[in-house]
Amino acid sequence: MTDSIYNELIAAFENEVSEEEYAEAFRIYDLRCGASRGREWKASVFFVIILGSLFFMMTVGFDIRQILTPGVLLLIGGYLCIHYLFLLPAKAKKRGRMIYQSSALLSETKKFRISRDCLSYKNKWEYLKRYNSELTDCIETEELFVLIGGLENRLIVIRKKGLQEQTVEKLSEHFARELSGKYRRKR
Amino acid sequence: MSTDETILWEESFLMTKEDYIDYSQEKSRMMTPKINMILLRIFGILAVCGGVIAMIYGSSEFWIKASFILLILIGFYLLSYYEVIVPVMVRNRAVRIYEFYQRSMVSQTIRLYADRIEVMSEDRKLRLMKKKIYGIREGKNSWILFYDRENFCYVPKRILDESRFSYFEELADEKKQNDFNKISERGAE
Repeated sequence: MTDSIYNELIAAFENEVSEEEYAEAFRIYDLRCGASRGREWKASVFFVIILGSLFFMMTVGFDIRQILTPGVLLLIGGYLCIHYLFLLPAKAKKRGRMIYQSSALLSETKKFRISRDCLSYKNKWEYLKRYNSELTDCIETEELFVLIGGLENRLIVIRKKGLQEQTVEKLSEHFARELSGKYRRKR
Repeated sequence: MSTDETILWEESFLMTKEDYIDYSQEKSRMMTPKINMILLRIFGILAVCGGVIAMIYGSSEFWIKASFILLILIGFYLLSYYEVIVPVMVRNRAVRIYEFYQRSMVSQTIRLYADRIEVMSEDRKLRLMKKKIYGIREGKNSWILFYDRENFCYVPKRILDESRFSYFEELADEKKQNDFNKISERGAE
């Protein structure tokens, strides 16, 4: 692939991701656009329902004939609060591990080419190209770049370990500049 | 690694909106643990029955009756959540996403070989050796080829002639024997 000045090559490197790294990237992906998205506000809605139900039950003096509905709401709200705040994030990382273990593609070393307009990677089983306009999110952590996008909402993970410091800085600058509103840095 | 280069069948297609809706619905069904569906149905039935019984035998005060009616409505909501509400939400979301990506949509080519399946487009090439396919499932309008627990290739039945169904049926039988693809029966775990 020739690179013109309109699609300048930013970096080319080989990269592979371990199970733990993929699991962490999947947890981040789940927080951004999976089931864990907006978990704090969802949990707070159910917390308000819990408080409302408790308040109603107190006002009727916990009369068994009148607290059936608020009692049910209390139980459902309580479970969903715990589900969104604690169970979902733990499940996400476990799901990431299980996906990695089940996949013959994720553990393969990939050759990445990051250009101004797009990124691509290939190995002997797969070739994928994503234009920057197709990406919906780029999250940079201490160890990873997590890129999300495309029709399938695909997760692309780039591990920083093993890359030269200069390459990491170039990638960081490139994603921050080209993806601006979609780029986030997590410390 | 030597591979068989004889193409058994090849077809190109452009994913339509209906294909993408079907793909999204299949993905949603895959992602839903069966236990969640069962629990929601149980709670829904309990809520409806509890509300009805409470209406008959409970207090006749207006606000109390209203709370029992609310309980019945919650029960119906829980019963219909995975049957009606989620499919509608998934469909609407799929339509929005498809319309967003529509202009950059490219056609895909599917090639069947004796030992592998290849899916190719301008921006993607995937080579799935049969033994590396995680699982396969037959949907109403498609064959779903899993390359891991959750990610899959969508092959719409509309592009296949009936003679090609046997290729996927044989692959499905093979995967069942290898203890893969329990998700095709169980749904997500």
